[in-house]
Amino acid sequence: MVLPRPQKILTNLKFNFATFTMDAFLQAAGQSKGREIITIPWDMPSTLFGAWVSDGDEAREYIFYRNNVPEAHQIHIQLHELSHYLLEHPTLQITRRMIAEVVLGTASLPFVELPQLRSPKHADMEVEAETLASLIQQKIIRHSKLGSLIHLTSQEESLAGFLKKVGLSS
Amino acid sequence: MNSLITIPLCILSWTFTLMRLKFIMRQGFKKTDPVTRCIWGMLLFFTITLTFLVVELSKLLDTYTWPDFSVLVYSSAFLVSQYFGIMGILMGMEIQATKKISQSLSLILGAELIALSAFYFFSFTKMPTIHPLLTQSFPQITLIAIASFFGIFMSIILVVVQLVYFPAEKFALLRLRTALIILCVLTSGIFLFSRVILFAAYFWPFLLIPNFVPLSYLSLVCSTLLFFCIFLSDRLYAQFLLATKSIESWKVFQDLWRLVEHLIPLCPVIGLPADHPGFWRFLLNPDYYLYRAIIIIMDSRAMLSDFLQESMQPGTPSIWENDSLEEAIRINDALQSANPSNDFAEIVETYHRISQNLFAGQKNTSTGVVL
Repeated sequence: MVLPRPQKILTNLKFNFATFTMDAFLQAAGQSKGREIITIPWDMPSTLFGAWVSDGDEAREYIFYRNNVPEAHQIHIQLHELSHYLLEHPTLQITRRMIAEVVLGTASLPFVELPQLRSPKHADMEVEAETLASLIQQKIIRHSKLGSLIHLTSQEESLAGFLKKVGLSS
Repeated sequence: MNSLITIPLCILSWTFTLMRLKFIMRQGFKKTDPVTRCIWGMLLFFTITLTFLVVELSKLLDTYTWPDFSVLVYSSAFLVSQYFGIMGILMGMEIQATKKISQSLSLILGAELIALSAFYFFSFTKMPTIHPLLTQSFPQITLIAIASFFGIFMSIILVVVQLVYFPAEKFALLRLRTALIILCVLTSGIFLFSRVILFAAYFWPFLLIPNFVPLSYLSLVCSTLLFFCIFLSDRLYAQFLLATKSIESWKVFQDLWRLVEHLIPLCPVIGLPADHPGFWRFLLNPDYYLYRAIIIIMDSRAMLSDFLQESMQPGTPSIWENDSLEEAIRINDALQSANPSNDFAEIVETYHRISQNLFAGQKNTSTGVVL
């Protein structure tokens, strides 16, 4: 049975899935809440596939996803994390300074503090996010856009875009 | 043949012919591709054949012309239809020998029409029916037998050309269309052969086994219906192929699901509990269910690998007991050995093969319909 909240959120998004691309969808999801969404391939800790953190300084959301799994899996992880954001689940806030330190290698992202995947405490939220992700995927496939769930923008491109947006490269 | 069968077939045939004519006229007859014109010629003459197979119409024609003139008309029309059909197909296939074959075909057609006309005008005399099951006179049967003989000859040419072409065709849609053409020609060949047998039955009545005539007409009906199927639009063919593909995918999904069922107890539940859709729900959106199964497998693949690596570190307790640990290692090894490209069909095929290899010989316990 489809949970009513994910269905409602997806309807309210009013996204035309016939024109689906991951970039366009991220943009639409960000705009729906006046935020910018940046996806970043990352060397995630063991058993953690993805993480969504919010920028405390600027109107930005960061979605980190595991970089050493097949592309189709990476896209799924991004959609799952994006669903947490759309469902307004609680998450951590990080600052621009913290991001800079992480990129310079002097600090790590606070993944351990995140409500980790498969934690029994947050099982309902996981089910809700996965339901929304699967609804999005269903819509994409119904509009014959299966290919966009399999192929990804290159990781280098994605990472370069992220560094540029946070002001760490020109 | 019964008018209740021939009249609907005739209406269907005229509808098709006129629809194609409308399409051709919209483009301009001279500007239309020669293949399209040939195919329309085939349709037109086939329709004329069917029209004069309607007893009432053939009687009407015979009343206002000569006795049994309708037999000559539909026999000739059938051969001309076959000629245009073969020409259209040869031109469409763009094979090198088309010019040579078409010259020979034109000569054969000329010979056929002369033979039919000659027989009709010089030897056509009414003779009494000599068998209670044979409702046509000997000259009628002979005329049809001559046309059938040539028809069989043309059918053989067409089938041979199609069989040569069939293995080289890569597109499923065109393969299906080619297969239907072959089937149509074969069924019409059966009908034509039955006409030759009827002719022979005048001399050897034992050849006329019970129900022979109705069965021969059944092959004509099948052949006519197949003939119209050949002209259905590509969109309908695509829908049919899609449905066939969905049914094939179900079997693949069942195998993938077997792998999912083995992975779930080994890994903590990942997001949504895995839910088997059942056959009918699966058919509504096969790609989606295949995709979801692949995602569960990919999630589990990454997780199994992580857990096994963690458990290898000293002092870390394994999350699995003996048998489960062995199963986890076995499945992990199989999953890690695969490295499919970013093509969805290849990803599905890779994990499908892995599942088949892992559980070869084991009974499928998946829920749902097993085809």
